[in-house]
Amino acid sequence: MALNAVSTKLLKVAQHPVKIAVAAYHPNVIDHYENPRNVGSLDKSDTSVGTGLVGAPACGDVMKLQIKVDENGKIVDAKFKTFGCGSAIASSSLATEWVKGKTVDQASTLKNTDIAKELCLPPVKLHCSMLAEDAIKAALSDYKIKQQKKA
Amino acid sequence: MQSLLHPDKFSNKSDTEKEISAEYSSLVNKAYNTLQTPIKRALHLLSLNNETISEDNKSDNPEFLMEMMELNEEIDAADTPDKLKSLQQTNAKMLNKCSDEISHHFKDNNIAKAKEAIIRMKYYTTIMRRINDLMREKGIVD
Repeated sequence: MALNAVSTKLLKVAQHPVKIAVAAYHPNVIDHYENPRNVGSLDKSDTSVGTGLVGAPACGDVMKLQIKVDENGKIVDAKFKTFGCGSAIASSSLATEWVKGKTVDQASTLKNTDIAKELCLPPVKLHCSMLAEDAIKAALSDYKIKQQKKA
Repeated sequence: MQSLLHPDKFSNKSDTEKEISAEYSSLVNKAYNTLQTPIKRALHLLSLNNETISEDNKSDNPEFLMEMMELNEEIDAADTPDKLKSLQQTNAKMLNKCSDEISHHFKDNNIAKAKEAIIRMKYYTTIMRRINDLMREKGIVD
């Protein structure tokens, strides 16, 4: 009898495994994960485009974030491509949304904590937002190096 | 070991013995799993040398990252079972290569080099999981 009670319990748990997994993500993460903004690529050989490529060795995620800057130093377009978990995708998606329309200097002040706050990331997923911050920094620095070379 | 430790052997014994059996039996499972999985084995060896791969360990090898990006894009573009299978085979070779490198570096006691190779293996492992998940989703059997 005791065994029966246990197995019934186990079966009940097994019926909704997907639901449990989904509930672990905050709605803001799911929104960006299901409708990611600005997915794609820009021409990385264009001198007005900065490309940031970063990776997270601990989980094997890779993230590419690109910005297109006009002659006034304003970011007119941003694209990303991320292969990783939901939080990494959401972080980079949000990051592209935020830097669009900002100047290069404004964009460099973007903090991973802002991303984490907006997406309500739990502590174990904070590194995903850090990856997005690093990707922006890398893209900005790539853009600046290109501009210096041009000058 | 499990023939000695498994909780089934202790169903008639005292609670203390049951607890010990459950704990040790689960440890043996964990150890077996670590030894059997190359990446886990490598990470364990690394931790024995007081090294870990932390989340802020940035890989600053742009060429390698580019390769990983392109590999992931190839997986996205793979629209036939054969293409996925061939990617899986290539990736398995890369994993083996990492494995060989890692054991070589550990033998030489070159922990820094071992760590580098383990990080690469980590990326290939993630890619392998993506390929395998995709194949399972599409019902491709090898």
